Amino acid sequence: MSACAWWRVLSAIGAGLLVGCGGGTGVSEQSAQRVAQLSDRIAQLTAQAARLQDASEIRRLQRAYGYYVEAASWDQVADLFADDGSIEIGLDGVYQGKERVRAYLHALGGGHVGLREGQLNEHLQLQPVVDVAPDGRTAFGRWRTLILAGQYHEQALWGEGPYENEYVKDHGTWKIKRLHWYQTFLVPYEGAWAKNRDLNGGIFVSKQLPPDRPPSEHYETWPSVYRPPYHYANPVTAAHPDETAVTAGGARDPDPAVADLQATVDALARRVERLKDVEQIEKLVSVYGYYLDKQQWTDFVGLFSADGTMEISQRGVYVGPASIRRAVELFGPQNIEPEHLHNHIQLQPVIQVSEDGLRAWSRSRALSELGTFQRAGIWGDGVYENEYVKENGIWKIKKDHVYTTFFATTDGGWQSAAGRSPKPSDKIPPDRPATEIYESFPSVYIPPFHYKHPVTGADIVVTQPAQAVHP
Amino acid sequence: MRRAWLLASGGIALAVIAGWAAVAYSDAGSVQGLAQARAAAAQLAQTLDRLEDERAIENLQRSYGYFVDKALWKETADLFADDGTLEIGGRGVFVGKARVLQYLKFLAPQGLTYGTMFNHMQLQPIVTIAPDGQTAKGRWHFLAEVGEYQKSSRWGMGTYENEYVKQNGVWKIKTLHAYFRMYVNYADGWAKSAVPNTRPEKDLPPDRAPTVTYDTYPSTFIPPYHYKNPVTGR
Repeated sequence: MSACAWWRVLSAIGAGLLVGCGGGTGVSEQSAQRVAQLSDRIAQLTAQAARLQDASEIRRLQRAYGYYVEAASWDQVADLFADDGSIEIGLDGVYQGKERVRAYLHALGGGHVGLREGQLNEHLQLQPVVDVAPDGRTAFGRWRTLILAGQYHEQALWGEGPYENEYVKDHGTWKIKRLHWYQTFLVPYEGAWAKNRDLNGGIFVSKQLPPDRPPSEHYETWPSVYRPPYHYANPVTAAHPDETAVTAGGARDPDPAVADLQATVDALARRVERLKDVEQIEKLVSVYGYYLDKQQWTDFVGLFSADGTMEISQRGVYVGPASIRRAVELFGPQNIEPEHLHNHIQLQPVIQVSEDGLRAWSRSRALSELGTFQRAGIWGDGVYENEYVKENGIWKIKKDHVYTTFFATTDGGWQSAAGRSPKPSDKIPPDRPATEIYESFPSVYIPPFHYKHPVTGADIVVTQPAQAVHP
Repeated sequence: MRRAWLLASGGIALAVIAGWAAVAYSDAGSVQGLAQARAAAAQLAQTLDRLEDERAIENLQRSYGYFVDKALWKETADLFADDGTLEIGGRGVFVGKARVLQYLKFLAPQGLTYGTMFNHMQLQPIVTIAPDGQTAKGRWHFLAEVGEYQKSSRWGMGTYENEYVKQNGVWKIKTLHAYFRMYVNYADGWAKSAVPNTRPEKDLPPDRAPTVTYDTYPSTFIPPYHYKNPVTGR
């Protein structure tokens, strides 16, 4: 006898205390069990979706920070911090507590709220790697800023450096718990990093407004080289397979209402998984860039699948991690050396994941700051069309393909870019020739799109401009 | 707890009934459980809708950047709703997809020609989806590298405050509004040079006057934020 039938018996003898079975809409014990399981799965999925929401809110928080800093809206910036939050900029030391953060920011602004006429203070917030704790109460984020700052008729500066921040959820609202910006360089526009040392060694206003604690790390700014520690382990080589994936659950229940719920939950599970996939690939794009910056080749190569390929510019294709490891020596030795700059700021990812969730593609771009102190300063821009594969629950790079748009010296700009894409190396030859032949600026080449037009859904057919290949 | 209370009231028969009642309760609970599970699933679906909307809008605006980079104007205009509008710098408002396309072609011919640079990086999105999931707003930055080989190089910077609309499940640009912050000649940088904001062109008069008239760097106009401070809510 089913539980429901028992209940009718009990009701009949007047012992009923509870609601009835709902006129035959009750479910069998087996189905009841299944509903309980499905409820658990919904709860799991809801928790995972909440973590995705958390990460989204944290990205919003950090980006809002950038928009307020560039407007010199110091109180709005300070209000993004937790009451016990702290700020540490460059080597100014640590200012602890929201009111000290506020005082520090006002000092940075020279006692002036809002931009002065002719002032520029752009701090672009880029390349996020946000990791939320499983309980959704704390989180870490690595970011980087590209700074365009100065004062008209006085000074123009380029700046760059990563953040390693901590966030805390306080009464349902994410706040900055600890903001730590590592200064790579702040240099005059003219001559940029090729001709200038860092301007202030990371010291801004700590002489006038002493910090509560000394700098938490000691390092020297450009042309010295420092690698700020990561809050995360290598997402491929140090990864544990994702055991939180909620997979489709068994045979359809005979009860149509329960079977319907089953189908609903399966669909929800797929959606959660696709959103997690997109987030992981976005992180992979960022992490790739941070390793490339510092020539951490072991970690960099570890991001590739066993059959992964790397194709950079017109250098040809390197196949498999061993070959890629040899090839990256073309860009410098393992671990960047002092007086060298190898920044590849990773931007603008458009990510698509396959229906089965096992493959993915991204179009993204890098803005590169390259050079050697007192020898060369180079800006570069390129577009990636990459492919990823999920193996044992871990996303890896299957194809890394960057199309160079231009390389230009920091002195001349792109109007004088002598734009030849680098060709195959004789010393470390590629395994396969380049898959496409093109030239970088002043030639124009449109890298094919892996995805369909986001509105029309049609293929994006590109016609290469005339004279695309330099004669 | 109910079970404990019943047991406390004593009597084997009652205990047996209580046992049955517990079974019955869990059974009744599974009817309720089904309804609760459905409600939880619906709520989760709504959360996922918003997260997917955010990603779709990121892809939309980033695609705008990739198309503009290469002067793929047809593809760019197709990102707009039929009644979508475009306002870039100080040239005024262009209404409807056809006019958007006309504006874009005014900038350069379709497809980039040899020696032309028109990079517009799309950065730092803050996307806010309306509660009904049918409209959204987004603040973005752009960093531009524009110029012509052996003639000019310029850095450009600015902010978008855009509106998006979902039509038949597809997100489109409803209002694109790029506020220029600064354009400078590469050779001079922003200590020495600044290019003034654009104004309506005689050769391409807008459908509507600029929604706001402002000057670019060295002036300091801050485009209004579509969102409140994420912590204070003010």
